[in-house]
Amino acid sequence: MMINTRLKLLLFISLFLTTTILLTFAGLKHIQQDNLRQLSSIMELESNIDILRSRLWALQEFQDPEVLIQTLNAHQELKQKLAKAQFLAPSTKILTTNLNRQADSLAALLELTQQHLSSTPQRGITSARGMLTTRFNITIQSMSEDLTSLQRQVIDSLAEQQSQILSSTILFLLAGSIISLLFTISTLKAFRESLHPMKQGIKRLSQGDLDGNIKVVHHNELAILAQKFNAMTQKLKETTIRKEALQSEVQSQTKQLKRQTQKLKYVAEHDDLTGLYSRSAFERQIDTAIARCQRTQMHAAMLFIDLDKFKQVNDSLGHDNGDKVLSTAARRIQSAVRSSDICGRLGGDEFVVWLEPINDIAEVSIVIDKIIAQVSPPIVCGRTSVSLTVSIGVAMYPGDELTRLNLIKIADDNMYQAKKISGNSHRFSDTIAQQVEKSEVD
Amino acid sequence: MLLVLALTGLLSVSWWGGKAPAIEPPIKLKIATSTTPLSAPLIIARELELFKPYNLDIELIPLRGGHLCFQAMIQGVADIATSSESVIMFNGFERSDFRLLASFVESDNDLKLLTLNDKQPRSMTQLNGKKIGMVKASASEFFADAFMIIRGHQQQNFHKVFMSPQALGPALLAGDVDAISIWEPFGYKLIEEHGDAIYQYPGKGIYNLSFNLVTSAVNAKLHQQQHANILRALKSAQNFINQHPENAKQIISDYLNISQPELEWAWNDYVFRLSLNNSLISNLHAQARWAIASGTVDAQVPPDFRLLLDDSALKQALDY
Repeated sequence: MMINTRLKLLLFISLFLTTTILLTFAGLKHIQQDNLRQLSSIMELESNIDILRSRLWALQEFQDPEVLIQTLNAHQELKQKLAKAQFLAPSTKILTTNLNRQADSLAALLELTQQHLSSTPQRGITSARGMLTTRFNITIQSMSEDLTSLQRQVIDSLAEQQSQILSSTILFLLAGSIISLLFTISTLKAFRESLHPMKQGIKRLSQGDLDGNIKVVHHNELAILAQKFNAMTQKLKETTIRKEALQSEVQSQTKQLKRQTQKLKYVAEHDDLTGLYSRSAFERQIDTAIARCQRTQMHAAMLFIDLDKFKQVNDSLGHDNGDKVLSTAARRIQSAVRSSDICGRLGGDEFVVWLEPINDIAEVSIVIDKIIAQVSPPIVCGRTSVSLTVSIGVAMYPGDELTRLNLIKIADDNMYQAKKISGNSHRFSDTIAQQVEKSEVD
Repeated sequence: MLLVLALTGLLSVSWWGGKAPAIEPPIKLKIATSTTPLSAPLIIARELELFKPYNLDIELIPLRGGHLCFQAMIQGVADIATSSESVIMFNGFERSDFRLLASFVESDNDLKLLTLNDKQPRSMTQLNGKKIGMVKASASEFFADAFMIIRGHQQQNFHKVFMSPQALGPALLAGDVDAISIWEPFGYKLIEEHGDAIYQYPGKGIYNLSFNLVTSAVNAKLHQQQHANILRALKSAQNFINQHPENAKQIISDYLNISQPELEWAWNDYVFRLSLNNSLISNLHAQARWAIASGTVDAQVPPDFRLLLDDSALKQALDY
C-alpha cells in the first residue's frame, strides 16, 4: 500500500476516534440533562404528594368542607403533574401507571369522603372515617414508595446508559488505538524496509558501482522511486559503457595517428632510398646542433662527401644498381661514424656528416679515414662489382664558420677542391689545413 | 495484541462459566397457582420456559383461589403458593411458619360487589340487613366488609354468608344472597352471562389487592437461591408482559381456558411488578386491625407481619 494512502488512513482513523470522543461527551451531557429533568420532575411529584398527605390528614382530622376543597385542589395538582411527567426508561412505565391508578383511587376515596362529611364522626377501622383514613394512608404511602422506586430506576437507568456509553467508547477507542498503532508500526516497517535498500543503492552508486539494483520489497512511493533509480542506473551504465568504448577507440585512433605522424615525420625527414636525413631535416638538425655547440662551447665538423664517378655507375649499370650503390654507401658512411653524429643526403651522390663533439682536427681525420675505409670495399651489383672512391670537403665549427649555410658552402667548396685529386681524398679549409700542418710540426 | 488475547480469554471463560450449571439435574419445585389472570407472570414464565436457564423444573398446581393455594402449601402439596395479602393476613393469626417472599401483581379493581339489578336508584344504606355472599378468610371477605364500612354500614347491619368462589354466582342468581363479593374472572363471567341483570357497585379505591408468593419458613431458608431464581424468571416474564401484552394475553387465555374479552376485562387493572413494600405491611396491619375489630378473628393483638416477610430472595433477584 502507498505510504500516502497509509497516512491518509491514519488521519481518517484519528479523526474517527476524535469524533467518537466528542460524540460520547455530547451523549453524556444529553443524558445528564435528561436525568436532571426527570429527577426534578420526581421531586416536584414528591412535594405534591407531601402536600396532599398533609391535606388528607387535616381532612380526616377536621372533616371541613374548606379542607376538602384544598385536598381536592392538591389532588388535582398532583394529577396534572403526573400527566405531564415523562420518564424515558421503559421500566418506569409500570410505576407511572400505578401512580396514576392510585391517584384515581384517591379521587374515588375523596368522593366517598365527601358523602360522609355530614355524618357523625367515628374512629376506628370499623368506622367509615377510620377505614378511609387507612386507605388514604396506605395509598399515599404506596405512592411515596413508588416515587422512590421511580427515582432509583431513573438513576439506575442513567448509570446504566453512562456505563454503556463509556464502556462501548472505551472498547471502541481501544480497538481504534490498537488498529492505529498496528497500522503505524506496519507503515514504519514498510518505510524502513523500503528506505534501507534505497540508501544502500545510492551509496553503491556514489562509489561507482553501477551493477547493484535496488530490490523492491513493498509497493509504495519509495518502490516507484527505486524502480526509477534502477532505470537511471541502467541508463548510466549503458552510457558509461559507450563512453569507455569511445574513449578506447579514440585512444586507439590517436595511437595510430601518432604512429602515422611519426612515420610521416620520418618519411618527411629521411631520404627514401638511404634512410638518412633529407636535406631539410638535416638542416634543422644542424641548426639545433649549432645552437647546442654555441651554448656548450663545443667544437664540431661538417663533412661534405661526394661519390666519385657515380654518374658513370648509374649510366652503365642502371638506376637500380645506382640506387643500391647509393644505399650501400650511405649505410657504410653511417656505420663509420658515432651514433650521436648526424648523417644526411643532400641529393644525388652528395652526403653530409656532422661530427659533434670534436676535440681536435686529428679526430676528424681519423673519422675521414674510417669513412674511406668503410666505403672503399667493392659493392656487388649483379654480375659486376663497383669500387667507390669519395671526395670529402671539411668545414670546421667554429674554426671555419658559425652559420649552417656557410659551413655547408665551405665544406662543399672543399669537396670540389678534393675532387680535383683522383681517388679517395679530403680537404680542409686552408686556415684549418695550416693549423693541421702546424700541429703536425709541433 | 496481548490485550485482545486477554479479552478473548476472559470472554471464553465467562461463556463456559455461564454454561456450567446446566450440567446439574434441574431442581423440581411445585407452585400452587390460583387460576386467575393475576397469576399471569407464573404462567408466562412456565410457558416460555423462563425457569430453564436457572435450572429449575417448576410445576404449577392450578387451584381455585389463593386461600386453597395457601392450604396446599401448608399441607406440603406445593412448595410455594400464590395468595392475596388478605389470605396471608388471616393465616398470620393462626401460624407463623410461613414467609411472604414477594408481591408480583397488584390490582385495585379485582374484587367486585355484585347484586341483581332491580333498576332502583342506589342509596348508601341500601344493603342494610341484607345477606352478602363471600369467601371466608379471603380478600372477598375483607373487600365486602371494607365496602360496607366505607358506605356507612355497621357490622351488625348485614349478614355474611360464606361459600366457595364458584358457588357465589349461582347463589346470587338463585336469590340465596342479596349481593356477593367476588374476584375476577367470576365477576366477568356473571356479568357476561346475565348482562343487565347484574349490578356492580362502584368500589374503586376501597381495596388494593396484591398477589404474593408464599412459602414455608423452612423452605424460605432452604431454597433461598431457587426462590431468587424463580423471582428472576418472574421478572423476565413481567418484562415480556409489558413488552408484548398481546402475546402474553394469548398465552394466559390459552392456559386458563378463558376468552380474550374475559381477559381484557380486568387486564388493564393489573400492575405486574415485583415488590415487598412497607405499604404491603401497612395493608396487612390495617386488615388485621379490621379482622380483630370486626370480630372476624378471635385474637386481640395483630400479628407482627414484619416477621413474616422475607425479602432476602427478592433482594438477591433484583440486584441480579
